[in-house]
Amino acid sequence: MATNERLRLDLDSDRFRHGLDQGFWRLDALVGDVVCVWLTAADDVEYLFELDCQGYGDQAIRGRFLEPTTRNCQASGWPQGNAIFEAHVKFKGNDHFICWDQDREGIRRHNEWAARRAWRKSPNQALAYLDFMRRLLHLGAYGYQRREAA
Amino acid sequence: MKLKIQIEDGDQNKERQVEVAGTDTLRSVLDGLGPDEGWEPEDFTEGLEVDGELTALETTVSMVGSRTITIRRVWIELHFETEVAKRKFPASARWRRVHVWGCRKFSVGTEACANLEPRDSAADGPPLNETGRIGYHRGCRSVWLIKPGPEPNGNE
Repeated sequence: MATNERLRLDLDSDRFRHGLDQGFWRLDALVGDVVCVWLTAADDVEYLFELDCQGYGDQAIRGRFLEPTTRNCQASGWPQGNAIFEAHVKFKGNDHFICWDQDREGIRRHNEWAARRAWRKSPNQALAYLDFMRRLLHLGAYGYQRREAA
Repeated sequence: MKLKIQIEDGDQNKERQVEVAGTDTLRSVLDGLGPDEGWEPEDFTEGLEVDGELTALETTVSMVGSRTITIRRVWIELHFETEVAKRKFPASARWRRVHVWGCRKFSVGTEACANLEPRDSAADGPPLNETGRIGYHRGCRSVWLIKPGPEPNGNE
């Protein structure tokens, strides 16, 4: 099965659709191997998140937040939080990435993660990534900084 | 004046009539019925359904007038580890209410509570959005409070 076809099937799975129904995410665009979704955090703030799924299944996804207007990876598009949150979501400085053993950039910075091939432990790689982001933005224990209601 | 409240509890419907003053708020009406009906003030933070629309609890009875107040509650069977508790929640309440109530019911500390998430139908069921409303359903819906496993990061 072509990797792109597999990605499309995974984005059509029951669990992905459940996430849509629950309002955790909504699809923005799927162009080639790149998926953009809007992630809704616990404070109802939406963040544009890009999943670069090049080599889907054979390598980890690279995830990053985008500034919605420019669609560039820049600080203003990234959610913020406490030290626990920052351990996973590198929103400070100029080097933004997701520090996780199922993220391509995270693995590049932690060589010991490469051998784990952790992205293969879930049958739906894209969903596993989105579910991880969901937990980061919804579970209080992960330290996401909620924005004050307007 | 008398105020009519339609209560739909699972498959049972009933009507309560309470004596109120025009300046009484919906909140005070709920508080008065709480001991009999087994609900808590926190169950209705989203408001009360008046003629099908959620209305703030600070609304006075005089503003409600002759419109119909309806309270729809649904059964939730909440599981946490080896424990189970069953309770009725307003369909208009959010899943967050179930989470908070569950932590209190099962004596889960504040920090541990923040690390739990509600799952639908089974411990490995799909996650429920706590900002979403429970909604109306027939019968009893099973929900699990579970703790997701730790995730590795660069600090390990």
